[in-house]
Amino acid sequence: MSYPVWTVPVAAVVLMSFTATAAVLDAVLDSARRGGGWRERVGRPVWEAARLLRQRRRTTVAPDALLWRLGTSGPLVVALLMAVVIPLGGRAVTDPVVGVVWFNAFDVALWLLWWCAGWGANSVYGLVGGYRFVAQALAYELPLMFALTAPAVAAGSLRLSEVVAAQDRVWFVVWAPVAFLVFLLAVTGFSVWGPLSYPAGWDVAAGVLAEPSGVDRLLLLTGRYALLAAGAGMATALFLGGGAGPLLPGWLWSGLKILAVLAVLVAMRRRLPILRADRVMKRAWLVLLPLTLVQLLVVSVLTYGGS
Amino acid sequence: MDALPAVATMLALAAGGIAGLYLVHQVTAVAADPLRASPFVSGSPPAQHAMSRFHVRWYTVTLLFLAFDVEMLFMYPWALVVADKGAGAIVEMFAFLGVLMAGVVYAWREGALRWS
Amino acid sequence: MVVDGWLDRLAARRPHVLLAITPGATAARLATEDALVDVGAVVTASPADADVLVVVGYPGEEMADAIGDVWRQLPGPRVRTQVVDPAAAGAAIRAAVAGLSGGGQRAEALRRHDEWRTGADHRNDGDPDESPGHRGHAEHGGHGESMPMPGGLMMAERADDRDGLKLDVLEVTLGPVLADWPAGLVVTAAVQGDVVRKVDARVVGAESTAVPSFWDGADGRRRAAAHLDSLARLLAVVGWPAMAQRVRVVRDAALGAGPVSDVRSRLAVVDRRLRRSRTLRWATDGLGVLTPQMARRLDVTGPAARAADDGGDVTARWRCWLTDADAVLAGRDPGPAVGPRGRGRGDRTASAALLDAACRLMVGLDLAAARIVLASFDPDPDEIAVAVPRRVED
Repeated sequence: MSYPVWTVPVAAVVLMSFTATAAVLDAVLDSARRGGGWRERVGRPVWEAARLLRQRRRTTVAPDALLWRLGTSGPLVVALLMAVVIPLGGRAVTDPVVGVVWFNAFDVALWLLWWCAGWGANSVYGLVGGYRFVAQALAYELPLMFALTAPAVAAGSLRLSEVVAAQDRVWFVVWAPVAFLVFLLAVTGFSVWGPLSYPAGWDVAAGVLAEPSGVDRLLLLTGRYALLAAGAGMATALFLGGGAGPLLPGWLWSGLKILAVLAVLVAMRRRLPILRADRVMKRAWLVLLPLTLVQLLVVSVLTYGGS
Repeated sequence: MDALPAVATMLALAAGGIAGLYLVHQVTAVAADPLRASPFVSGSPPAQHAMSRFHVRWYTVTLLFLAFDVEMLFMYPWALVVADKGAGAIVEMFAFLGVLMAGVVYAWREGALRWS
Repeated sequence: MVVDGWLDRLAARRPHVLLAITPGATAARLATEDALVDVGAVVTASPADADVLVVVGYPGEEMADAIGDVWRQLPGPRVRTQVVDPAAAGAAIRAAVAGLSGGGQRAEALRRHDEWRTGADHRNDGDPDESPGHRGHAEHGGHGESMPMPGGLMMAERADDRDGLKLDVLEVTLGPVLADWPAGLVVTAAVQGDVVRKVDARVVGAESTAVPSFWDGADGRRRAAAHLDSLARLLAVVGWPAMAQRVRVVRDAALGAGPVSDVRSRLAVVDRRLRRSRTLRWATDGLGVLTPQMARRLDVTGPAARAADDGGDVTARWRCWLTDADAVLAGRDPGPAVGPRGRGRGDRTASAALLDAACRLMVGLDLAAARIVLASFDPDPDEIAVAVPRRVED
């Protein structure tokens, strides 16, 4: 089931609305000391956008301009392309047979894009940040892939509408809680957010964010929130039954669940310190990866037993 | 809608939106052309170009990753048929994954996951 | 333009500020941090993101050069201001933010195109033929491997790494204008990838470095605030800004006039949260171990020396700050002549010993770990009156 072509801009607007919501949530959750009634904070994304539209762009000495541009605008484009397959109330703009793989392919594209964002400026801090992303991705990507497989196995399909439909009785988060949590962690990973914002570390003057200014920076920061929103949308479809729920229409249920997941993702930023890749690599491979494999085994056996 | 036109439309939208934003920025920014400045090295001019043969100390992890990444090629088709094929498919796949995990444990014992 | 005024007003609601802090200006720094919160400004880590550059204290000549370099990197709209008198911080910050709006910014932007070139002219005192990359690197000329590249910058040289590979070595300077970094400290590091191979540290002085450190003295509350100030910097470097902010709030309470019991109860909340955090321990455990023998040999005293008996890693040091802060708040005599970082020996101050220890332990670590180790010693440049260069190779 899918919508006609005019729904593509609608999907883009919906994603950007969730993106803006994520930015507002982040401002509201900020625990600043004073000058901080929530009304003062809600407007922050607007002020930041205005500030960056006013600010001049920047170029450095012998930058790799093409790759840099690719890296600053790429994350937003990836989030928009992910949004094409994310169902809202059981239906998406398009519903390919390989919807889950589609999402996977684009989150891997982010390896290149974030690295480009760091590399392009010919700046030491940016370069270190770009390579930090690759190291971090080596830690989260495999658990993410196996976490993605769990709902697909349970539904016997890679088509997202069928994955959602297969949850009509029990949401997959019940069978696969570990996969759900791993998925959320990985979303913060490819969004360079909170505990996994190691590539944008404060210790290297914000790493991949050190050099872009003006509209370049605006695009990169927007892309970051958009990736969180797309990740929340995907989590809802894969693990939280999509638009399933009583009384309210399906699209509204989808929206509410996405909002809830988004709030959790945004809130993670203030709960934990940065998990540096060299410090968590061992735990990712020796704890997280086996855990997701066991999770997948459980789901496989349950699916086989239930069929 | 088929995937291809949907994706093409979204790509066109994204490109148009980003191009539009750059155009808006030309008008709103204090200056339309970018400022050429030295990259930030916390107060000093950079001594050399930063782009360099970066010492990627975690290269052994990339090899481990490749093994699993290739395995994912089997994983997706397997996910579609596991319910039909039954116990045999589960045993075979997890035996294979077990072998890969043994590789991970070996690499860990060899110190591949620790580099600082 | 109409749009300009409209955008200006929105943009000025939350300006981003880069701080350039000189040694000996701790009081002015604290006042500045406070004033920034009042106008809704946020501290940023890089000039590309900054609208306002705040110079805190009187920079000496070398520091002023570095600040000038960073100032040229602000894309604009930009305003530069200076805070010397703590009482004047609020007015200076408000005036700076007001300066971000208005037609003057466009006029200034039209005059700036290539700050790399103007920076080169500036650094070489008006000799535009001498490109900036050559400054101080004449010794590379004889190697034959390096050649001038676009922008007048050199390519990186190669050297053996610890695995026996020949890899590029970059010379990276950390400080003096760097967020949550000891004021005026400059660490020149040779890095391969992001591994620090060689460290060379010095303090570029303020105009006058003869002032006693803000944190010295027999006042228990100020002593506690000194430790919390260090802790907040460490947490920021570790990458936990929300927690760093909470610690700064307790620090300000300790410096304020409220009842001690209130400060202690706030500290207890933060203390529990930090000691319970497993992820913080992942970040700091086993890092930068200072053994008791090393501590004695290097004349390290104060909390860092006590932490050496308790494991000696970064975790032990931040725990020691927490314990000491609460102890002095509870009334333990901080000792009359001893600063928060220890007593020093002869003409070598406690902070000089801490810097020495930190530099030795930074070698061989990656940039993140190296910065965390340095932050866990947190040498106070106010104490290091004379710039003493020290060089460590692995």
